[in-house]
Amino acid sequence: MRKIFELSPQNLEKLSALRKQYPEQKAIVLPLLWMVQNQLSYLSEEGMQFIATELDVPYMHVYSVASFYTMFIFEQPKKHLIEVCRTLSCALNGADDVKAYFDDKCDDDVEVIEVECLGACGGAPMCAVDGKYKESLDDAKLEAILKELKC
Amino acid sequence: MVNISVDNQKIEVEENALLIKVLQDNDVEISHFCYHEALGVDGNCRMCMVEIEGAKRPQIACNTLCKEGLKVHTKSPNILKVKQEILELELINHPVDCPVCDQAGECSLQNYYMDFGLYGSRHSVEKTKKAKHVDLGSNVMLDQERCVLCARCTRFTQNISKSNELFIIGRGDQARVSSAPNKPLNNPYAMNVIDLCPVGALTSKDFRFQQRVWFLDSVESICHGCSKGCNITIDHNTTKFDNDRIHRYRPRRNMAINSYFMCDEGRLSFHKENKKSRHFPFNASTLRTLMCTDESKKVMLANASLSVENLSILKLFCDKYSIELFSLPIVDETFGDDWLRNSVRSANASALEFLEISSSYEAFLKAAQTSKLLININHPLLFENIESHAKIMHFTTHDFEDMGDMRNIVSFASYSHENGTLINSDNIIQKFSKSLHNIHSENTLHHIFTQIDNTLYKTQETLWSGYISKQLGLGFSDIQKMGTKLKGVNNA
Repeated sequence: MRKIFELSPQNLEKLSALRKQYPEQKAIVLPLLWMVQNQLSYLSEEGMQFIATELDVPYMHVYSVASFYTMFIFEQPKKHLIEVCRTLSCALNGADDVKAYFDDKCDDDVEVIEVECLGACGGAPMCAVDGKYKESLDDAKLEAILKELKC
Repeated sequence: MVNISVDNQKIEVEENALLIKVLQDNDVEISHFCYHEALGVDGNCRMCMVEIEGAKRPQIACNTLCKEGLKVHTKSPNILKVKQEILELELINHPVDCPVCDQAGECSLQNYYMDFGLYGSRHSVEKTKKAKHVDLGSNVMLDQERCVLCARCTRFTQNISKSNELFIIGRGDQARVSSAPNKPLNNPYAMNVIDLCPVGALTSKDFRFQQRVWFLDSVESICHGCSKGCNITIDHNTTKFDNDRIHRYRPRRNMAINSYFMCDEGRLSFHKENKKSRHFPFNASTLRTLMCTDESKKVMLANASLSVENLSILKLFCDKYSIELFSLPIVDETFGDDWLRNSVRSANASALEFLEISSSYEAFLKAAQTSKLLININHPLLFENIESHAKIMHFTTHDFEDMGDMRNIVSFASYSHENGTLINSDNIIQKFSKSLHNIHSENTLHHIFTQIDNTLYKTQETLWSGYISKQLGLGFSDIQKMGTKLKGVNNA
């Protein structure tokens, strides 16, 4: 039996509000993708199929939109996510070293990825651990992060 | 009508006509990837840039409408430079593997590169790697590195086949054509994306690595897969140790019938055409004794895919020797759809009415039961064992199961071995041409039956002027290149 995806009651309410907001139903693809990802922590095939049927657009349209944005993921994520900023200010202040440090020290529970500017250039180099910003990284702060994640 | 000028040549066109279409129709070379007559304007490839007097920058011809006094330059130095730069961009991540690419020789990118490419590369960074051989399903292979992202294939699945399997996913240098995981290309027209692809990104699993396209000879023909009569090009050649063989069918543009497309089943039907029967020569005097001198009742069953010429010669022959002639079109309800696939699988079924050949199944069965001799002209019904005590004489193009007494078999040329005409389901009569020249090309039905009876029309020309033009109400020379619509039998 294939799992069928269903939106939570809160999200269903949001959806009916969005339908009134947008005259073009296709515009709801993005908000719906966010709801699915928030519920499942990733975009499953069933989830995207749900969006396609709900909005009456081809499944491939939903998949194509989702694949355009790097913040949508298609596979069950690992337990923790570290996003290392690699844009100019951070790059100049040693983002490469930060990434290399995490790659070296983190275990299999942690996903380390490079992302573009997170808008915290004042605190370069920086990263986001499970969405929480950690700025002005130095060796002590990196170790503290690892301790926090219990690696 | 408005007047425009293209490279200082005056052209009269309809107002608001699409400039790129006007250029193509007037044989002005205009480079392009994404524009296609059947798919419409997309404007993403930027290869059709032209200079328009009065406009600040170069404009794309595929999104420009013709207005009075429009002055267009397609070959100015500035335009060539623009095109060179766009090509340079296209080629940054292109693998340039033309020597092993099947599209080489018919690739737009290759042609434009030879015309106005920047020959030396200025790039030192590594090329982006993408998937080299993705099996999209339905015999379509995708090489994402060769793709120029013109989106013709995705627009075909979205707008024409409406099956929505292909989309462009990702972005930037990771943008690529793809189908969704576990959702392969699956529609009866899928292989058309191979023809639509201007570069070597989509190739046919059936054709790739078989032949270089510049070794192929092309002949214009008609698909015999059903009664729709899609126009095709037969690509064939003779290799060193092999007979003349067909390597692929490609759809040929005919806006009245198939536009630019054809179905996969028709496209792959050439495999059957390559599998000709063994050569069973005929002996005219034996056949004459068998069919002409005997007074007993004889019935002939002709395949309704035979050309108008062949059906006519059979009709004349049967009338003369009082043989009852039937032709039963093959109908397959599961095959038809509302586009290019017709349930009537016999290519020339509409001709039966014009030539007054009976197509009644009941009448045939009745006649077959009392007849002494059944003459089968390539009809599948009689290749299977039909309940009849009559002797069966087979004229066949292909080997069939249970051939029995081989003395009763004569092989004859199939449609790729001779010229002819067909009448399709919309009563459009079209010509097709001989493509293959091999051992079977000699024994056309026309040849066999004129050998049996020397008094019949000797050539196709005399047959047309003497008999067929009377039946159809038009002469052979009246048939247009893209076919001519016949008036129906009832309202003729």
